[in-house]
Amino acid sequence: MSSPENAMPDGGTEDKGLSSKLQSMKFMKRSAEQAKLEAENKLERKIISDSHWRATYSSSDVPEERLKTRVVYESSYLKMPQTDSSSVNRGIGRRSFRSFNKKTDQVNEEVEKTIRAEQMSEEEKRTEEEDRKMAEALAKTKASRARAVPTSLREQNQQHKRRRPSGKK
Amino acid sequence: MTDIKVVIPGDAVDTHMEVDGQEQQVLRLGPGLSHIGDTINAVNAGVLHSSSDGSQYWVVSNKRRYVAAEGEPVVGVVVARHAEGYRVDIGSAHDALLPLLAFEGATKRNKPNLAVGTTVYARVSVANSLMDPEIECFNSNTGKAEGFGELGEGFMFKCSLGLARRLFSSKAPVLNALGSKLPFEVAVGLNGRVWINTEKPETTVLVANAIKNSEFLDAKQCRQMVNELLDKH
Repeated sequence: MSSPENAMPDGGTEDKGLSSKLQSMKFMKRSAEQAKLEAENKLERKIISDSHWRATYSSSDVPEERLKTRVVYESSYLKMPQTDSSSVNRGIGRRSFRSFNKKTDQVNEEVEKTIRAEQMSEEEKRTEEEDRKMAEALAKTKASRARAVPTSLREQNQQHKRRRPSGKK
Repeated sequence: MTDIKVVIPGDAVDTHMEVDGQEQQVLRLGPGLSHIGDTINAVNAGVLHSSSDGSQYWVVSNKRRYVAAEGEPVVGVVVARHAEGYRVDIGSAHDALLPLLAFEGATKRNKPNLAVGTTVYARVSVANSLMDPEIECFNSNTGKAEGFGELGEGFMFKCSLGLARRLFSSKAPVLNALGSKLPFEVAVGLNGRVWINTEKPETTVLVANAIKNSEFLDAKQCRQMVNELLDKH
């Protein structure tokens, strides 16, 4: 007579509380299978992300073309570039005529000085950059002509050492 | 001979923006233009201007109602004093806030004391459609007053925004014509308000009338008008 243990060689090792005979019964197997299915579905659901959803367009219009121009609003006339008819930018709001208010005259002079200084420094920077670029360009042409001569101090030092007799330190 | 393009609200503006390459091009719209849907439309009536490289467009219009914009100098009148600052009427839809520390050399212990009704010359520091505008009475970069602050005794009158912009430039013909003959001081606010101070009341009336008359006159007519007023004076 075959005992139920022979039919199930496991002998109920996983669940210590329940015997293998109980586990082999249909109602126990049903819940175990349901749990397995749920776990598999969860894994599947996680893989579907935002990239899964894509909009399809019926027309051949690709909306990316609209993003080519970006519009920026500027609400002040002061920030618009100067044209001949409206020179709003070069303005000093508070002015005094025939030295009615000396303090205002002083303030306006100082403001003009700083503006002129800024303009000068900008021009200087520009000329400096141009000079530097010219110097670099000239240096490149010179270097390409004379490449055999060692230029770095280290190389010169090594050459010098080679020339000296080996005995000396 | 360049064409002058006059636009009215609702006109579509062609900005000649070519779609080239992968770079996103930036189109700067100044006052008077708005990007509605796919097109750029004019919102104000006036003359359309553009920069030489075609990246900036704006409409020069003449109105009397001021909308605060950042960086513009304005003339205001103190209406109330709060703990954090003053409420100043600059002609915009909402009164502006002038913080107590927004003055030259202002510290917690050394704060200015302005009475209600004082005229001030200030610069708009914060202006957008969501908040009340804020103004400051000094140049926040340098920390110096540079002409801003309390305007003492004098006379303030209102004018159109276009005239205020023309008066603001250093070449304004009416101011230069008056200034060559009369001693006076002027502070122009881009909110359509002008403050003047002269020695005598008659001179104040003369200067105010001259400035108001110069709205539609060109440079030569301005000088003529000023000379006539001074002769009758």
